[in-house]
Amino acid sequence: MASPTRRASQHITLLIVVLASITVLTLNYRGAASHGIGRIRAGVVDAISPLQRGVAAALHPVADFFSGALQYHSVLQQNVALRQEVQALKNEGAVAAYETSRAEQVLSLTRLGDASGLQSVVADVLVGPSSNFEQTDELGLGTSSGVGVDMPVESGGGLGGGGLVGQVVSAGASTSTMLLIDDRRFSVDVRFGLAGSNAVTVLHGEGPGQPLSATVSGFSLHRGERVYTSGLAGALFPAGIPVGTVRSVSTSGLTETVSVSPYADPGGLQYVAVLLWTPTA
Amino acid sequence: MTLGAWARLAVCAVAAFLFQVALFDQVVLVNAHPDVMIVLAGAAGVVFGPARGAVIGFVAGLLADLATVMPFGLSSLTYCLVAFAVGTLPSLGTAEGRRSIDLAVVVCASAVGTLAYAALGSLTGQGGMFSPQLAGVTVVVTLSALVLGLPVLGALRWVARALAQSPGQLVPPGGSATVAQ
Repeated sequence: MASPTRRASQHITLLIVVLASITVLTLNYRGAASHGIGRIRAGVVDAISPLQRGVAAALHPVADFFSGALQYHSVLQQNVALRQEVQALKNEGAVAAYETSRAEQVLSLTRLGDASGLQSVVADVLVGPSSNFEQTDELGLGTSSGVGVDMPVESGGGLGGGGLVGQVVSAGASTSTMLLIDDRRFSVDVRFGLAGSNAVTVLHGEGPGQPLSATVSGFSLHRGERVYTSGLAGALFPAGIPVGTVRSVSTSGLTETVSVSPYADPGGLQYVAVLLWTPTA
Repeated sequence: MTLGAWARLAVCAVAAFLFQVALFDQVVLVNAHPDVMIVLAGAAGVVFGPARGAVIGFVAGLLADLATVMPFGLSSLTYCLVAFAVGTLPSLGTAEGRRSIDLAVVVCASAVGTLAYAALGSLTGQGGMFSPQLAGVTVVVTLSALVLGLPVLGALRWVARALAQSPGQLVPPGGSATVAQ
């Protein structure tokens, strides 16, 4: 049993470290200090990235082996589904070519900034989040490649379809950290359909594997409707980046809660495109 | 603490951090991965007692926070409280059975620490900390603590031995370091 003096000393130590922790926590909300913390974090992530790359390179074949062995049946089913999807996409391709030419005519008449003309760099995804309470990925490109904080990130095209997958929240010299679209802190200004209902709202991430959600009022939205970044003044993303499709709409009074299935699958990304675009202040 | 003990402690903390970011972050089950840093904090409370445990938990938390985009200091606040709470628990069992009791304490501390992190995160304005995912995270962290607990306890006892070798310092087995009267 500790003596009263010893116990008092232990409590003083606890008080000191708790106060130190709270002091550090408050620094997150002070501009200059927060910036400094961000730089230190980015530097640390830069420094450890070679080790992460090495371990990831060694682990991927092992992980793929176990994943393939455990999910053999579902992989076969997925293969059949993907073949059907390829056929459907080929059919859609012909229609899309016609729609694209029409869309280009419309866009040429508007003065909105559009994501399709932006330069991008392709980055490899190094590792996932270090905290169980965030949805982030570490990218293998940093400021030396032109990547900066707040830049939008798209997943590749492929069979699953490309689309907005996140936003750079921290950038070091050779690595950067992307907040994924399914993180609960993620939000994006969107509109529904290029020439459709013109509903504009803010979508929020709802956690891993969950659709994004938003609340709108005064618009009639439908399942399957396509969702794009709005690119309105002050928005954090340029216009026209595909985000997903409306999965469900539930009405409550005058407002509608919309669930959107993102085009991009934030789980298991290997390569992404960072759009070299930063929001205007 | 002597320079040797500090050096050993630094080696343990940095090694745990590197294992976390390079290896354990890539071992993902149900959208969660093992968390060796919280195991380190719990084990520090077991081996070094409340005061030194809290300081080690604080440092482990700062290291853990370097690799995330969560508020800097959130882990250090959580870990120092967890280590202190663990350190105040009375020593149980004989030397023979202490090893498994210590492991059980570290495993429980990891589970409680994960929930405490979510609670403190919510208090600091982080949304969605108490989501359905929290259950999976707690299970994965707790189960992985069963595996990681013994090596981490062993590493910290290696640090404690350096402390015991220093003049005037005694480390009772599984307890807090004390200054000899």
